[in-house]
Amino acid sequence: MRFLVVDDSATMRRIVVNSLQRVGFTEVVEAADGAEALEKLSGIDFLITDWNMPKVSGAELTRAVRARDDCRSLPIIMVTARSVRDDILTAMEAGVDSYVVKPFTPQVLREKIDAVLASRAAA
Amino acid sequence: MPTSRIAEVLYDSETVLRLVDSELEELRDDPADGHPLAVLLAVMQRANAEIACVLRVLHDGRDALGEVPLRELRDAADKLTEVSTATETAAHRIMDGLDRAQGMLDTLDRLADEPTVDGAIEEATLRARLRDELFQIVGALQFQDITSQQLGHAAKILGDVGRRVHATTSLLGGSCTEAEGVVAEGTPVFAESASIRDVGERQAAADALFWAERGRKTAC
Repeated sequence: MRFLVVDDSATMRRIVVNSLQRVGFTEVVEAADGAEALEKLSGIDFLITDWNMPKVSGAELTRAVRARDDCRSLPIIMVTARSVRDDILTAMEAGVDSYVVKPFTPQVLREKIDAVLASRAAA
Repeated sequence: MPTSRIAEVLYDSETVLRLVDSELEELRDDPADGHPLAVLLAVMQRANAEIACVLRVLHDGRDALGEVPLRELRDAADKLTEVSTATETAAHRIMDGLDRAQGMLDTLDRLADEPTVDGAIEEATLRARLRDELFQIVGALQFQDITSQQLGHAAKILGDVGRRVHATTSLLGGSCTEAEGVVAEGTPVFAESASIRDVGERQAAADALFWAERGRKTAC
């Protein structure tokens, strides 16, 4: 399974990539913002994105992905420091499949990935 | 001086000036050339114009400064305090993890010096724990992302205050060079709610809301 990790913080990208590799997902592509992510979507099976990023935010990226025919059903998890009610509702409306609050533990990230994959398999 | 008091003084001053202006108009209606009263009238008119000008500058200065965002300044102070706490907490977690990892390495060295069957099992267990420990240390580094967003928030508030002070300084005819220096360039990207506090509770609340909304949409 090929992941795309999008975060403007290089430290956070390394932590997310490290967490994914730790739980067995070794194929990971990185992008520093939503605009770069949109160029790297080809061949991606799972998208993990931050929210607050320059150029194209995580919410805008999610809307753009959902609007594309070739990746409309791509699993997306938002990993963000935003945790107020309106933010979560906005992310849901944009089309994310799950929501992880920073700072996260690898266990939480793994649980969300498993839940999204199980939900897709059941659908 | 409190904002309400400043407004009161400005209002009173303007009222008095209007009265003075009115009195001067009446005197002007009956000028007597060369009369000392005419000279006094001219002086008072100039004084009146200058005071009115000063009041206008004060008015504009107050508008430029606006309502000082005290709540936001308190938020900025809170963010900076949390940055300090988060940094210290992360440093302690990392140091504690490194201490535990060091202890495991010492035990692994001892086991390598005295190989036994039980030792081999303990060694395998210790290696797994050591990997976990190192992984936890990597996770603790997330504080960098959170604190950078908190600093971005504080920088934005200070930038706003800097711009207001800059505008006020310009109106009052002061040097703007130093004021320009405090205005941050560019817009930092940050989440106002970024925090390392209560992350378990915030994740649980996010999950609950997420599933409740999803259930509601499915029902519809």
